[in-house]
Amino acid sequence: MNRYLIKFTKQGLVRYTSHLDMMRLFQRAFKRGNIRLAYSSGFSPHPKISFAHPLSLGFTSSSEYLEIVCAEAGEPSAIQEALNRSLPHGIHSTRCKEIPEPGKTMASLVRWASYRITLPGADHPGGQQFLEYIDQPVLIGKKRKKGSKELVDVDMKPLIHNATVVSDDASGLSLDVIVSAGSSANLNPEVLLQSFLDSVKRGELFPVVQFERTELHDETMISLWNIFS
Amino acid sequence: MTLNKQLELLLPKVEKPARYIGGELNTVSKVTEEGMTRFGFAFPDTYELGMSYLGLQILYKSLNDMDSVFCERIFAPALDMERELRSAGLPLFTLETKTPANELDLLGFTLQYELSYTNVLNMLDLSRIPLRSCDRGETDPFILGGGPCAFNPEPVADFFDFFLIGDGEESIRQVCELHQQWKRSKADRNVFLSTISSLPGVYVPGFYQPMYDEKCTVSEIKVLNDSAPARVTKSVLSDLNSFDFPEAPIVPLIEVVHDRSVIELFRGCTRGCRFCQAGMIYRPVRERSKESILALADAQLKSSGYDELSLLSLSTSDYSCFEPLALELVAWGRENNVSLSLPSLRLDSFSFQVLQEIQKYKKTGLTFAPEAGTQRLRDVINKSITEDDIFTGVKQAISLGWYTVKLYFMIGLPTETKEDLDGIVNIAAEIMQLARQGGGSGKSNRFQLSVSISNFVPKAHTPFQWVAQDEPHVFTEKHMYLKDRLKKLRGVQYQYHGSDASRIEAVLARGDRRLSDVIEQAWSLGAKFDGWREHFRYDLWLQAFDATGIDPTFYTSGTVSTGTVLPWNVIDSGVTTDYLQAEWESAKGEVQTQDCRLGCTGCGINTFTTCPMEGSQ
Ligand code: SF4
Repeated sequence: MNRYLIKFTKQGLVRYTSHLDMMRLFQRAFKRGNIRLAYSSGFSPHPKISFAHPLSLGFTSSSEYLEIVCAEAGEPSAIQEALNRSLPHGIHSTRCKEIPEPGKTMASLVRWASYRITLPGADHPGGQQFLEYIDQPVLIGKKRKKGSKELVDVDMKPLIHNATVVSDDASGLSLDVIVSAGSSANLNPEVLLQSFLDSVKRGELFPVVQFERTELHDETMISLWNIFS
Repeated sequence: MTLNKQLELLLPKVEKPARYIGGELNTVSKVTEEGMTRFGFAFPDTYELGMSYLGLQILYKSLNDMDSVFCERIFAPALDMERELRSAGLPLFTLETKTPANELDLLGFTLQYELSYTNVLNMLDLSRIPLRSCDRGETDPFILGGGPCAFNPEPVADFFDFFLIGDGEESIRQVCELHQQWKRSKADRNVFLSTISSLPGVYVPGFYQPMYDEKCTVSEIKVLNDSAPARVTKSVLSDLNSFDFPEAPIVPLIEVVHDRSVIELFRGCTRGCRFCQAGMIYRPVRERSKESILALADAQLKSSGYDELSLLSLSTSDYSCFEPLALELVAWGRENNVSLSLPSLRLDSFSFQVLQEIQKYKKTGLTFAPEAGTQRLRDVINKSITEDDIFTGVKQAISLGWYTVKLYFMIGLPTETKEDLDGIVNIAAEIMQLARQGGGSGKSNRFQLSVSISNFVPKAHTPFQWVAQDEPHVFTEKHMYLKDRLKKLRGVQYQYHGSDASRIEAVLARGDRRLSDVIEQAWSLGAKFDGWREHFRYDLWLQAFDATGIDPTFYTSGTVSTGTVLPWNVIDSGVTTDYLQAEWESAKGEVQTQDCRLGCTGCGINTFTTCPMEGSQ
């Protein structure tokens, strides 16, 4: 009971806040908006609030998901309004609905994530180059090992579901990719793009690349929002 | 490309980019208009430290409450960001509108600790503002300084156009009003400085010239401008309740050092510890009313969503209605899911009752600050805590389930002997003994005592402003002496401060104007973030002393204080020199002076403002 799914966007400079910052920021926003969250029982109770999937520092998103359990029932629209009054500039809730409880956590349902990747400006590799790169039978990317600075090789091929060129002109190159996300398999699109740029000897462009998450999906490619409708 | 766009390109390259983005909850944005005063509040250290400083929130509100003023924030960029700014050729900027600092009208630095002075120079340099006041032109901002270090501004006098001495929230507004009048009049810089120099609390160093005798001590301070007073009395906000305190503090997007709601309980302190500059310069004690505190707690919670509230003062338990306030706040916190933090509590039985309530789940550890190891030395420094207080407190703490205790001591205090150092070890040993006796349930094994040792730094405007500081090697010997003995006690941890940094702090704390060359030299050699152990470079400071021919021992030995007048003589803290001298005599005689809540001890502050404490109990 009183379990809600909240969809929100993250735009502008606030994209430089980390996953932990976002957690703190939302807890405060609920407190500020006078929405009382339910607490876990036990020795050090914590509020029942969790994100479906962490967003990398520096990424914008048009489609983030947060689930909460409230201490008392409320209208989803009222929760959304109160939240929007309490969030800092750049973070905005677009939808909110009640979802059944108990159930699997959102985080455990996530399998795939869609990203829009943009290289702004006229000077960029061609979209065709990207598609050729992706077409190779094995795609080696360099991934940071958990908890260390060491880089290890990963084959990205099975982690890429789909990749398309959205636009390729003087204003920039824009790509849409769907890659693995979640606890069992995960590919950060930064790793993919870094490898691609390195392969075409344009690694210096990496700092200007913009990443935006556009959707999270379950294993059947249904968006998280639609799972419970 | 706008500065904003250019900055965005740097952000992916630096650590914690959110330090530089602004846009936090409750920040102010304004449409800028001609004739407005654009103010930059500059904190000469990192974002995380600056945003934990209550004064920033107070002044930010005070200034932005005026329609004609727009106050924005500026922090020292971390080393990686500084590198990026310099290589991209970008100036230091405000967080709110990303305006280059040199386009502002007034740039105010808060001077909380002496070891931030090189950061001030670095920030001016990054802002492309001439370092020295005399080199600034009509288009440059006015550079002002405030905070505790402004009570001896002489070492940095050449870098500032003026200082605000004392409580800043009211005086800064007056300065801004006069700034707008001056702007309309189109007169030159000097006219503005001359006008404000007659305001209480305003010190324009360019209007004063120290004269030195053959020993290099100050013989006289000449006043060069007719409107500048012979002595500058500090500004005093006589009633805290009459001035609006922040109800909607800025809430950082990233974790900062103190990430919580803060309400100032009272300003000032009556205890009169003789080493403590804060206890002298913030007199008299002025309390915020209980009603106002409770209302502010509510308002801040609603506007910030913080889940922790802290009360700020020099000595929380001294608040005159502490018991009812604490009980009401505890109940309020329980109702609103807000945890309370009450620093600097005197640990009597009532405090334990409160602490048990607020630290029910998470006992964070208790602190005691005896400062000196023997009663004799505590009499010298006028610290009223006794061994009995400490041991009774610790016993009670152990029985109630606390198992971390922290002790603060200072070494190098005037008249200190080996016996006093041994006293530190004895107190630690005694506490460990109590822990063994009190435990029983096996918990005693977990008992941790941490002993933190700082080095005494004689400060201006205190009874110890005339005394010598230990040489660094003496400090180091004492650290080793204590370490050897404390490491034999199981469960005791020992921390101490760097001796070299304490020496530089001491030089600057009682410095005169000749030191500006040393500071500039040290900065140009690469000194910055001197308050950070990992960044402090003593070798650079020694080079700077060498290059300028200035002997640091002149300052640390106290010779600097033997002139006809003290270098900081123009600044009047309200506490008389006679009082400080009498206190120094009492110190030598090992005689304590009572807490002046129990009866006025004649510090002199009541001769120019009402002292609410005078015979209050
Ligand atoms: S005037 Fe008297 S009571 Fe007031 S602070 Fe000074 S000594 Fe204490």
